[in-house]
Amino acid sequence: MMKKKKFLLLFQVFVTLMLSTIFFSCSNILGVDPKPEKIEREIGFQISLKDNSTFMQTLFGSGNVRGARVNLKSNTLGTEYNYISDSLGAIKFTGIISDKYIITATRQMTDAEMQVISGTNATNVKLINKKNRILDLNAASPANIELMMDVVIGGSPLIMSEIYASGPQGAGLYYHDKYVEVFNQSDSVLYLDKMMIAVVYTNSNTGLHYRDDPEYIHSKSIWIFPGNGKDFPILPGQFVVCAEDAIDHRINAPNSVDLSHADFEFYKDDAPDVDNPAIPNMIKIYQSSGNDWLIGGETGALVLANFSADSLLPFDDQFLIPYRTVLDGVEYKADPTKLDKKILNEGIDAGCTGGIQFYTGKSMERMLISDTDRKILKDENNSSVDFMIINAPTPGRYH
Amino acid sequence: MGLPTLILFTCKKFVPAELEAYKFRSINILVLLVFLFVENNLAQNYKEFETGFSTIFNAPYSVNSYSFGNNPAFLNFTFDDEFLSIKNITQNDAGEFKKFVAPANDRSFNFFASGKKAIDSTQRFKGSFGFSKLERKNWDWFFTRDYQTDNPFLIGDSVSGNSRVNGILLNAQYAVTLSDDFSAGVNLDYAVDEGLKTVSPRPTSEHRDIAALIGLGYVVNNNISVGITTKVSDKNEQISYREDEGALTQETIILKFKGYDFPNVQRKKVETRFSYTSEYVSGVTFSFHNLTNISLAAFFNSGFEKTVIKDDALDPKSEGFWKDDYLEAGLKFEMLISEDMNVGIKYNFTQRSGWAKYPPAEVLYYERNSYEHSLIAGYEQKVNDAITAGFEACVLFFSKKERDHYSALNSNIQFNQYSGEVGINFAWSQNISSLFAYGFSAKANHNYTLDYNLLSSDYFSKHRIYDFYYLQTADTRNTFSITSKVNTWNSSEMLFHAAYAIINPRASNPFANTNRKEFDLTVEYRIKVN
Repeated sequence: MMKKKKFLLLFQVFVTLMLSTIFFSCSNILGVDPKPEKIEREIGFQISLKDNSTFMQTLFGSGNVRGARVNLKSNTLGTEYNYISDSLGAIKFTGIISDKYIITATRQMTDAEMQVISGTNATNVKLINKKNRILDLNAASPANIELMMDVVIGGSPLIMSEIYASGPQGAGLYYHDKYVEVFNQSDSVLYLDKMMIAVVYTNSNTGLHYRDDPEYIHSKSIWIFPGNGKDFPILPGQFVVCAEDAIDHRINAPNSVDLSHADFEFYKDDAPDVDNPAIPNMIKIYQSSGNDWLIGGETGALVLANFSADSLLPFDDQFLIPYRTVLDGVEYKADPTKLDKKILNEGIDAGCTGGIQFYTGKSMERMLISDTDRKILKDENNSSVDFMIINAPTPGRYH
Repeated sequence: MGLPTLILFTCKKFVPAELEAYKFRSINILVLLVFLFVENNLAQNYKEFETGFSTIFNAPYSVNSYSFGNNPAFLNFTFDDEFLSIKNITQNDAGEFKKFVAPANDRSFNFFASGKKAIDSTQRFKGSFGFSKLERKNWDWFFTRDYQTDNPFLIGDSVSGNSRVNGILLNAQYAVTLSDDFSAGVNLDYAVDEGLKTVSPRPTSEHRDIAALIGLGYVVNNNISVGITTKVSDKNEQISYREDEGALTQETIILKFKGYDFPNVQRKKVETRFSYTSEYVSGVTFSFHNLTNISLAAFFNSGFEKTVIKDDALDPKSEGFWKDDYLEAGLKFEMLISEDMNVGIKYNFTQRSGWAKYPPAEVLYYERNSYEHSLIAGYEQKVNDAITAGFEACVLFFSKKERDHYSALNSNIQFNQYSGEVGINFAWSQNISSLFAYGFSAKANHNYTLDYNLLSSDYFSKHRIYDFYYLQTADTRNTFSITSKVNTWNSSEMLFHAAYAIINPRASNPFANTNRKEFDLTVEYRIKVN
């Protein structure tokens, strides 16, 4: 009888435990995540644009930036949304997915406004969000996000318009047809002499990078254009191609590209590199390894700078280029959604382009804004929104 | 010899001409095998074997808390029931009438060696060791093994092709009688498998599944037993995309679905997905036997399953969380009206409530509520010593509501399904019996809505919308099956079950001129231990 009583007691305990588990929410006992109250696409967001200068205060008596164009681009889906800020400098929206968003807010100042503000007819003055280019928009975001905007005068006259780095299809591991294309965005003749093209340093093995360096680009591959001042002009709207090897690559790889008419060639004279004597060579300032100028096929970053090679500062096994001398910078990644793995400072390039795999023949080209008098390419200092992927390289021209 | 001759004659008359010779030869071999193993024992019914029927042709063995309630404490058999067996189960499911997420052809092969043994008068053991091979042919995009759970976080790539999953399955069950009234039991499952997509980019997968089910039983009196169960399971999944040497120069596009639409399209060659699934279930079981002609078993289970999904091998980041609460209940009743007649009723209810969230943003992505009622009634009549006939009718009611907040689409589906199956069991001799069955079912829709954003991407509007079209399409199913049992020498048994079903959509659009065919084959050989 005692044995049976013990069993009965055990049974009762077990039943009680089971029933309580069944009827009183096992989830709580087992510590399962609660169901979120916020529902995707039903969350409302508000972004308030605030002027860091006194322009808006002078014009409208308030620091709110009204009439600004705001572009939001979803980092994972690539979906874009466009808004105009209201009289309170705010945009309100709902229906978007939770994601990191690349935000580009621009308030172009009119001549009349500049007359009021400065008493001059200053042109091409705008307010942009220089310091905060990426927003997390999700349930945890504050109800009102403030975005500071700063004054920018003009834009870079010289920009990198295309980077081809992936290598052609159907030619094994052929990768010698890489090039970078420079474009004169301005309405006047410029000169490329001594301009610098540098590959931004990162160590893919250790993950070391200097994205957060407050002043300098770090590089171990620095080349400059030849010339002594006005030897190599670039006309308004002209594309200049700087090829790894300035040859007709279609001979070696049928799906590649003819670069025998490139404008410049990277020739590494201390290595068994190919040299087309008809094409002017870029001048190697520093590149300690490799048999040729080399940029990453899937991941990398380049800057175009107006900086004297004599002023380069040594750092470890690298040289430093000041941010203030950088005319343009472009980063590309195998997975362009991984903005947390960026290597180029956000002030130079807020996002990144890419998503191209090796040997697919694809190229990265800057988007076209206008093609009336001359071509105007997009330059928001944000490769995520400035660039697009094209299926074949277009050296010296726009696709 | 008369009856087997009749089989030959009948089959010869009905098979298509081009298959006649082959099938005739096959049947000859089968009949020859049958006669080789004949012994003078009475042919039993199809105990613990698939027949296609739920309430008849296996009475009274399936109405207890072990078979209907899955309580291992009631793993109960005598020395006479001990056997060792080898069993092969082959299933083939092919056709264009399918959800988009499903492969065009799904094949599985399972081979088990199992046995059960009464260790002494108080302890019973049952176990099995098996190999499994799953082949999914012409599978578009997806490479998640358990894609049918409604978990919206699926992964795949842009290439269509064949995939296979090979694994081993282990099961052990043990029950002990603790006293005259109490018993306890445990059921352990362990499975591991490896998957491979056979075309570039050749992703691979690894799964490890463990489940433990513990049960207690209490005999209230000679007629009534009650029990409780609790189950804990743990599943790990790893899906890996690696740089495939053969496709070094080929672009790889990985698709990560978080809902029906708007997958993350990533042009990359390397990715790793980890899924960790835990399941907790508790239940109660009940059985009643009046020792003469009435048996009743019932169960109620409540539990939930949760899955955590993380991506990236080097720095795993939370990609999704899926939880599915469920209730299930069942009642099975059987009554032997006379020596020649019995009836059975089975009722099942399942309710599921699942939701998914995106943990980095702590927002709700997806909700699904579904329930299903099914009621089956069967009637079995012994016509004479050689023939038993039976009929089963089933009505099923299904309802499912989905709210895919991520993709901005809502779906409500409700339908009824009516089915009937008739079977005739011939005892060809004292040792051979065969059950021939034909079943028909029809799905009738009476409520269906699908609301989605007209700006949906092509991934949905051209492809995954077929997941909904499939559910909304009314269909009919014709099933033919044969089940045979042969008592062979030394008290061993050979059992055989083959079923062929063809499913035709009734609506002409969008599955016009398509169908789906299913074929199941189970062969088991049992050797009595005592």
